[in-house]
Amino acid sequence: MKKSNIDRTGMKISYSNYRRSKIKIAIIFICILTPAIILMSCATARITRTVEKPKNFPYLKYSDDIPYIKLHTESGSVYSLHSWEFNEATQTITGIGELLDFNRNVIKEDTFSVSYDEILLVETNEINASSPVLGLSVMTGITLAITIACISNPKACFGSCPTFYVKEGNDFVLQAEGFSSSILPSLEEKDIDAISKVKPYKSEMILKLKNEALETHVIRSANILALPHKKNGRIFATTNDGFYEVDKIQKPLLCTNKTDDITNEVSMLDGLEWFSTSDSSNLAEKETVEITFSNIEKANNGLIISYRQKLLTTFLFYQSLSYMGSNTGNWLSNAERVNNDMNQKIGKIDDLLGGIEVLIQSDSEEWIKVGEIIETGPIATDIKIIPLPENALLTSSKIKLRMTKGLWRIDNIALAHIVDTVEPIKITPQKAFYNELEDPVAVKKLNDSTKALVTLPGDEYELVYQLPSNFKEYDYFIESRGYYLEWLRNEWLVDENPDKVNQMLFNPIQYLKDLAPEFKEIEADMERSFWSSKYVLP
Amino acid sequence: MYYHKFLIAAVTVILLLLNSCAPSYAPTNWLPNTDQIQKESFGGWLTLSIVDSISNTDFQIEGELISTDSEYVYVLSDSVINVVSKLYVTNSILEIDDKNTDAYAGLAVLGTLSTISNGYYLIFSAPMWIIGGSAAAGGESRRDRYVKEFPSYTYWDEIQNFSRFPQGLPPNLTLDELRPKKLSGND
Repeated sequence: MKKSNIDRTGMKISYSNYRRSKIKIAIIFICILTPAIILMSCATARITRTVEKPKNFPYLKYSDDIPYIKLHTESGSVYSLHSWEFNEATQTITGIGELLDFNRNVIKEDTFSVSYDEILLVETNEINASSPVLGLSVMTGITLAITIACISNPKACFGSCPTFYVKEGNDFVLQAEGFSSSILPSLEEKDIDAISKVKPYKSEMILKLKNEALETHVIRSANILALPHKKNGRIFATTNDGFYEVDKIQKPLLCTNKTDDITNEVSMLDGLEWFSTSDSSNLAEKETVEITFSNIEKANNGLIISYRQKLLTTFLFYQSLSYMGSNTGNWLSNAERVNNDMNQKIGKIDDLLGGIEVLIQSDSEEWIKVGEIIETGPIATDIKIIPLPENALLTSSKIKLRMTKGLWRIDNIALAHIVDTVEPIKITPQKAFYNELEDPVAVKKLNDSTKALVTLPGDEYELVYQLPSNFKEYDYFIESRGYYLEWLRNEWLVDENPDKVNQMLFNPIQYLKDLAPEFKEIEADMERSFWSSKYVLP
Repeated sequence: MYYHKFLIAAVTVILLLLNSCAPSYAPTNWLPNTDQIQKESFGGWLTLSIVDSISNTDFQIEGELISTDSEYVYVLSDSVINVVSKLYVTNSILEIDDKNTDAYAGLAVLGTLSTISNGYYLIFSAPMWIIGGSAAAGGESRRDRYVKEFPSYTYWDEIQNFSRFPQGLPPNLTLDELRPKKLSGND
C-alpha cells in the first residue's frame, strides 16, 4: 500500500489501492474456498435399489428415505404404493397408490392389501447423497515390528478380508475369505463360498470368523446356505449367486497349457494346483488352457472350476496404496464421493486383468466366451459352475480357458450334467462367542442388515449355526456381506508418487507394463512372505 | 493480456474436460429425474454394441430394458422388441435417470470466469474450479450408470433389477403386446 500524503488526490489514490487489495484478497479466498466447499457438498445423489422376495425384504415400513414401494407380479403388472407397510402376521403388504398393467397403464387407484403369494419381487429405491466415506479411517503409521518378513517385503504383507474356518473335530479348517474385492464402503457386496472341505457330522456347524490382517473388517452378515441334493447329486454355485444340482461329474480327458500336459494337476480337488508365472513385460498378458472331455451329454452341461488367485492382485492393491501414500485418505474419499467415475477408473485394472474366461467353439470353429469367473482372493479355494449353452460341445469336445498369466491357481476342472436349479435355505447364526464368552450383541449385529459387526486385527468370533435335522442331505455354503479397510504400513509411504496414481487411473495398460519387472523380482518369494506375516494376537 | 489468454485457455480446458462427461443416449425427456425414480416403473435406457459374427461388423441397439434371461436381453425400441443374445454383446450402457450435469458444468465455467478478478492469483484458483467443477460434473454424469465391455453374467444379473420386469418376462405375455413409454408424461 502506498504511503498516504496530505494531498487530497494522493490520499484517495492510496486508499483506493488499499481497498482494491483487500477486495482482491477477499475474492481470492472466495474463489479458492468455494470450489472446495462445493466439491465437498457436491455430493451427487446415488440410487440404491433393493429388489427381493417379500419374505426376504429387509425393510418393513415406509420412511422418509424410502417413501415408495413397487410390488412386481407374475402377470407383469406392478403396484406402486406410498405409505406402505408389511404385515407379517397376515403375510400382506398394504399401501396407497396405483396398480399398473404390463405396459404401465393405470388399472386402478386405491388402498391395496396385497398378499405375499401374489408378489414375485418387492422393490424400493433410496436416493442418498454420496458423501465422504462414513467411518473411513485410514490407519497410518503401523509398523510391523513383529514380522520381519513383512518389513523386508512390504508389498507381500498378509491381507485378506475376513477369513472363515469351519470346525471339524477339534480343528478349524480354512474354508473361505469373504468379499475380497470390497475394499471401500461403496464396494460392499455379498459373497458366496462353498464349504467343500468339511462334511458336518452333527446338526450344528461352528464357524470361526477371523481378522488376521492389519485391516478393519465391517461384516454386515455371515450366514450358512443349505441346499438339498438327491443321493448322487452335488450342489455348485454360479457366478451370479444361483445354484445348480449336478450329477455325472467327470474329469478331463486331457488338459494342456501350451505344450505342457497339466491333466494330473487339475483332475482332482486335492490341493495340488496348476499355476503359471506372470509375464516379465506385461502383467496383463493372457494365456490359455485347453481341456478335452469325453462322454458328453447333449444338453445341460456345466463346467466346474476350483480356483484361487495368486498374489498379483495383492501386490497391485498394496502398490496402489503405496503410490497414494499419505494422501490415501483423500484419494479413497474422492472415490467414494464421485463413486462410479473414480471406481470405474480404479476398476479398469480389474477389467484388464479379468477373470477366468470360459470359451467354446462355434460351428464355424470360432471361440466364443460363454462365461467368466471373477473373484478376488488368494487364500481360500472356491468352486463355481459355469453353465454351458445347449449343444455347446457337440461340434468339439474341447473347452478353452483364457486368463491373465500368473494370476490364477487352478486345483480342479470337471464337467457335470446339470439336473436342476436349487433354492437355498438361509441359516443365520444362533450364537456368537468372543474370547470364549457368549456375545449376544454380535449375533444381533450380524442378523440385522442395518447394523454391522466391526472387527480389528486379531479379533476372532465363533459363530454357531443350527443345521436341518437331515443335515447329511445338504451341501453348504458361506454367504457373507460387508467391506474392509486396509491399514497403511509405514514401509509403503516411501513410495508415494501421485504421477503413478494418475498413470494407474488414466493409462492402466502402461501401468501394468511398467510394474512387471518389479513384480517379477519378488514373485517367487511373495508366497513365503505373505503367509508368514499373518497378524495374530500375542 | 496474459490473464485473458489464461482465461480463454482455462475455459477451453473446462469445456474439453466436460466433454469427457459421459453422454446420455436416451431420447430427450425419456429418463425420469432422480427424484422420480422411486415411482418410475419402466426399465432403464439400454444401449448395446453387438458384433454380427457372420459379417464381423458392429452395430448398436438401444431402447428400454424389458428383461433378461439366461441367454437373451430383451430391448424395446419404439414398438419393436429386440431379442439379443448375450454372447454377441461387446459393450453395454444402462442409464436409469436424467442427470444434473448441466448445472455442474455451468457452475464450473462461471466459477472459472469469476477468477478473472484474481489477477495473478487466478493461476491457483482457476485450476481449482477446473478440477473441482469438472470432477463434480463428470462425477454426476457417471453416477448410477452401468457400463461394461464384454458383459459378464454378474453384470446382467445386476442390471436385471433395473428392467421393466425384474421378476423375468411374464409367462403369459406375448412380446408384441409390449408398448413403449409415452414421452408426453411419465407414469
